[in-house]
Amino acid sequence: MEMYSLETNRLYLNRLAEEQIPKLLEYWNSPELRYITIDRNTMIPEGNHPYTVIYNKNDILDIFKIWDNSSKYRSFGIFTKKENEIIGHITYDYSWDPFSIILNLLIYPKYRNQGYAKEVTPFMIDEIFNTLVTHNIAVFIDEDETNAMKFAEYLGFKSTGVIKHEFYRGGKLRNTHCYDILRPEWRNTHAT
Amino acid sequence: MPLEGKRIILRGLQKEDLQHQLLIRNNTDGQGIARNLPPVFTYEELEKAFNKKEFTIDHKFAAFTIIEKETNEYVGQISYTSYQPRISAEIGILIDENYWGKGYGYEAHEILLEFLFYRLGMRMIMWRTWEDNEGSWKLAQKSGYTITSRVRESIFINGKVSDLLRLQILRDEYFEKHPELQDNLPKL
Repeated sequence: MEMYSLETNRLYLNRLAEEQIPKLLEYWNSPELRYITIDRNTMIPEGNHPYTVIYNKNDILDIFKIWDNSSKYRSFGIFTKKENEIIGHITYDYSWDPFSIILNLLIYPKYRNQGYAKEVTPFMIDEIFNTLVTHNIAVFIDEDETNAMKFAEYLGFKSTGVIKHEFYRGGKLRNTHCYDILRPEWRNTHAT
Repeated sequence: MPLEGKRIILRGLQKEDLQHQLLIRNNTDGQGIARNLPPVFTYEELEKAFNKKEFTIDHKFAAFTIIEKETNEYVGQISYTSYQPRISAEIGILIDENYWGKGYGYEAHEILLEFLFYRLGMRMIMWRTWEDNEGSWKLAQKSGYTITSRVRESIFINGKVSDLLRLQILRDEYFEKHPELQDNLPKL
C-alpha cells in the first residue's frame, strides 16, 4: 500500500503536475465554475480575476509556475487514493502575514456531496496550525455558495461580516461572506 | 483637471518623492502591517519598485503624492488598488508625521473618493485598518464608510493583538452624502 506524507482515509495531497492538465482544463472550464472568479495566484473561488476565463494549457502551466515558486502560497491537488483521480485543490495564502492566513478550497463540481471537503479541510487546518504560527484562519465565500457557508459554520468558523459589491459577475454586483476561526477555538473543538 | 482641494493637490508619484516615502514607510507608528517589520526599507528598494512601473497610473493601481499648495511641501501619499477595474478598489494612505491630526489625510481622501466615484465610476471603495488605529477608521467613518467585517485577532504588531477592520462605502451611499454631485452612471 502506498504511503503519502499528506493523507486522509480516502484522499492524499500532492503537487499538481503536467499529467493533470487535461482533467484540470475540463474542470476549470466547466460551466459550473464560470462565474467563480479565479485569482491566478491562488486559484480560489474569490479573487481578483474580473473576467470569464477559458483556460488553455499554457495558462495552467503558468499557474503551476506561480504555485511552485511562491513563498506566499501553498497549493495542493486533492487526489483519491483508490482511483488516483484529482477531485479538487486546496491552497492557503500567507502573503499578508503568517499570523493570519486565508484558506481556499475548491472541490470540482462532479465530486461534490461525497464528504471529501469534510475529510480534507480539518486535516489541512491541523496541518496549518501544526506548522505555522497562524492564530487566525479566514475564509471568503461568495453569497451564492450557501453550502460552503454551512460547511464553514459546521467546522466552527464564525461569521465576521459581509463585503458588499466587491465584484461584478453573473449579472450582479456580488457580496462576499467572511468567516474566521482562531487557533484556541479550533483546538477546543478538534482534538488532534 | 488636477486633483485638488483647498490646501492640497494630488499629483503622480515622482522620483523626488522617494526620499520622503522612505521616511513614512519606515515609520511603524503609521502602519499596522507586520510584514513591514522591521522597518528597514532602503532607498534602492523603493527606487527599484518605482522604476519597474511603466506608468504610475493604470487601471489596477495608482499612487499620488500629496503636496501642500501653499508651501509646495510633501505631505504624504495616497493610492488605490482595484479589485475589479471600474467596480471596486481599496484606498491606502500614508501621511508624514508632521502633518498628522491636521485634516490633510481627510482632505486627500475626499479628493480621491470623488475621483473614484464621480469621475471614474467605481461602485465600491474599501478601507482596511486595524482597531487600535482609531485615527484611521474614524477618518473613514467621517467620509461615510461603515465597518463591514472584522477579522478577529488577526494582526500582531508592536506587542499587541488587534482586529483587522474592513470598512467600505458603496456608490449610492457616497452620492447620498454628496447631494452636490449628480450620479450619471448607468445602472448595471
